[in-house]
Amino acid sequence: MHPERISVLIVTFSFLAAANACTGESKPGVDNGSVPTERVLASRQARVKYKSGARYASDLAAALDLPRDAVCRELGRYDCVDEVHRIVLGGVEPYTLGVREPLPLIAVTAPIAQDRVALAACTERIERDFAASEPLFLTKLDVDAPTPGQLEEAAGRFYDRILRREAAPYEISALAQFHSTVTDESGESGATATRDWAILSCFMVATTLESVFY
Amino acid sequence: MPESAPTSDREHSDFERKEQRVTHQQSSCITALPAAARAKLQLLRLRSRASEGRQRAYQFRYRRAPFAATLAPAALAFAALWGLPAQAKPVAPQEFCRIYPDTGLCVTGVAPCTTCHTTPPTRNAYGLQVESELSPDTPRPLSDELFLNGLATAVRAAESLDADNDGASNLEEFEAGTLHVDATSVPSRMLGCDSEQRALASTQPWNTCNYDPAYALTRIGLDFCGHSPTRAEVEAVRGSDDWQPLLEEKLASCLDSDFWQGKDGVLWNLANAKIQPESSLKSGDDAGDLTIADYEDDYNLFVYINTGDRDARDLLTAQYHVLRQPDGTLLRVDRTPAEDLLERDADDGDIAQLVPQERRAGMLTTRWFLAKNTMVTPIPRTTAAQAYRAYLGYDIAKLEGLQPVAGEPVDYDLKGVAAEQCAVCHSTLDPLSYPFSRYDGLGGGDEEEPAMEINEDGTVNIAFGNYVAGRMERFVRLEGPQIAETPEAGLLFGQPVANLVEWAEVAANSEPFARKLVLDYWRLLVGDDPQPGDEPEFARLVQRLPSEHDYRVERMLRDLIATEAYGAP
Repeated sequence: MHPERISVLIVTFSFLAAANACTGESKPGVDNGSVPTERVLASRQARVKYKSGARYASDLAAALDLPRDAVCRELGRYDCVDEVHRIVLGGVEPYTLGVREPLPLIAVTAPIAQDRVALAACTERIERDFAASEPLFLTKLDVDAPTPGQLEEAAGRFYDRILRREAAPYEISALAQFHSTVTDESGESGATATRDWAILSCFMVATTLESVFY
Repeated sequence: MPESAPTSDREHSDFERKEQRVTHQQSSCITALPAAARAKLQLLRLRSRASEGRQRAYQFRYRRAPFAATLAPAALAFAALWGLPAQAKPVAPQEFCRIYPDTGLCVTGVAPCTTCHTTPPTRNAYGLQVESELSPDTPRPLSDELFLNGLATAVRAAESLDADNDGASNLEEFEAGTLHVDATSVPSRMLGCDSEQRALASTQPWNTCNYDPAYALTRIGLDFCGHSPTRAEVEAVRGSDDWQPLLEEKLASCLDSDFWQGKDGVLWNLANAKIQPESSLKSGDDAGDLTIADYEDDYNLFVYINTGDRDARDLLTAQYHVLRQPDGTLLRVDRTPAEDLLERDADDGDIAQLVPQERRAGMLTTRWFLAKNTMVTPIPRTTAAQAYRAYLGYDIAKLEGLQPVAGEPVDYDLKGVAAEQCAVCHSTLDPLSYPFSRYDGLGGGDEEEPAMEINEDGTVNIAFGNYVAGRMERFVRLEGPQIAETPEAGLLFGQPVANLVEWAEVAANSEPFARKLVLDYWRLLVGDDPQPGDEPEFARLVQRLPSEHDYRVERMLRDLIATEAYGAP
């Protein structure tokens, strides 16, 4: 997929997801669910930790069933986490740079680097799914003309594998509806649109706060 | 074959020694000089020292020259700071914590300087409040004794005041763990849940009112294994009333992971600030251009001792070293210097551990630690300060852990450290340093580089990174005859020690060692320093390390993951 198209779709999806969360708009054939509105008791400690690059890549590799060195390589050559974005993603390099401890604050460019890692890993996973006889996410899915039920099943698998939990109905609904957005926005259809949808769905779940912090 | 310096170099050294003595003798007056004059003097010193560094380096081995020359200015910058007037009271941080032992400011045992100062000696708003209450009728400056006598009354008087005008009194902020000199930091942290909140929290995916075993399992997986537990593992914990064994089982499996104890793993990186590696100076695999020692020995020793149910005190007392095998496993090696030299330096130099076994003190006497910190210094204050900081948690540069010794510093190397403003720190630091003085780093003084000789007892006649009983004699020509009187005996925590091995023994069995070790893991795993509400759990870990845990890190970690600080979302 062309990087520019991916970028447009990411932005589009962000708006759509937000809009969907606010309006609870439903579409035929898709159980929209509802965004939870009940009161939540906040953490007393607020000690959420950043996963850091090494931990994030390792966690993502396990979730996507990828070898660690296949997660992300800039220019296809340099490991994104161990080499290119190491310090930005909370790593250390004590030997030549003298960075013996992680930066005290998360770097302002960390989200950009994190997005690149997630997008590369998700692209690799979905490409493998398309080539594999036993895909990880796109099981029982007609890639040329997926049904809403098949999209929901795949959406649930993204949450199951990446966040290790069951997806809420509204989360499944948002992802399943996103398939038609991809089709409309990109003008693609069939397997190409399904590939884009799967990559971006994976990317969305892998870049949630829940996935990046613990 | 002894190397002798050219005549011109000797003359140059004589000039520099005179210059150093003059400036040291003037050290108490330096602060009275105009800023421009001070800057000029510092520049002169800087040039002089850099030149000396170069000269010394040529006397040893050409490949060490840039190293010594590069570090000389840093040493001078530190020396220049000695000239500043000392108005802060280094006795204050400990006294403050004697008065308020349970506050968040005293988690490490000494309050930070910023409790009363912006940048010492300048006082912050709270410091000014205390100062105005401190023996107001007594002429300034106050002696340490008068200061200590009046401090408790003064801080009590300032308790009800509000230094940052945020509506919370100083005492309320101490107790809540918020910053008493920051108006944006106010006590608001909820330390408990009422029944309604507990009921609500119990219906959430994460129970934010209690220790949540599923949340703790997730953290264990990510902290120790590097990836989240599977959904099945999480659900097994959620569905079990007897979840404690499941957590311990997960921890046990993760403690063996490469992510935790492998090269560049979590434990390895925990040692970075203690070892301070520099690839350009590394010997062994991936050697740099100027090889002085291989810090992989240090990392291996650190990881080995922190794993496998081993005694953590070995960090300071081990007389063995550790090698990483090709398959990644760590192997304890009990070799004499001669055996290690023959085994490891045959193919590649500057690797073997040369300190005789009975003179070794774990991480403090590795070849890298000595070379990196002691370098060519007669009295290795930097080495002692790093040991004090890295393993006992006291940073003397921040006025932490000061326990002045009467009659110190003697100033055996004529650096001017007996001046009042210098003695504030050096009356503690110098007695700490003497036991390190017989351990060579990179040579120095009138060094003779003997032919490599292996003695019958397994020791070797190599000065670098070795124990040299007569080391101080080498510095007589450069530093004066008094340098030879530097004792090997010193003091740590007020306790006399005959040598570094005794120093390490006292250190390893001290409360600060246990506290620092637990604090390192707390910061790593909980994510920040202990907060006021954490103090009971943190103190319990420190207390149990030498007793129930028998100094075994992995036993302590089993307790740590059971704390609310770790397992309550």
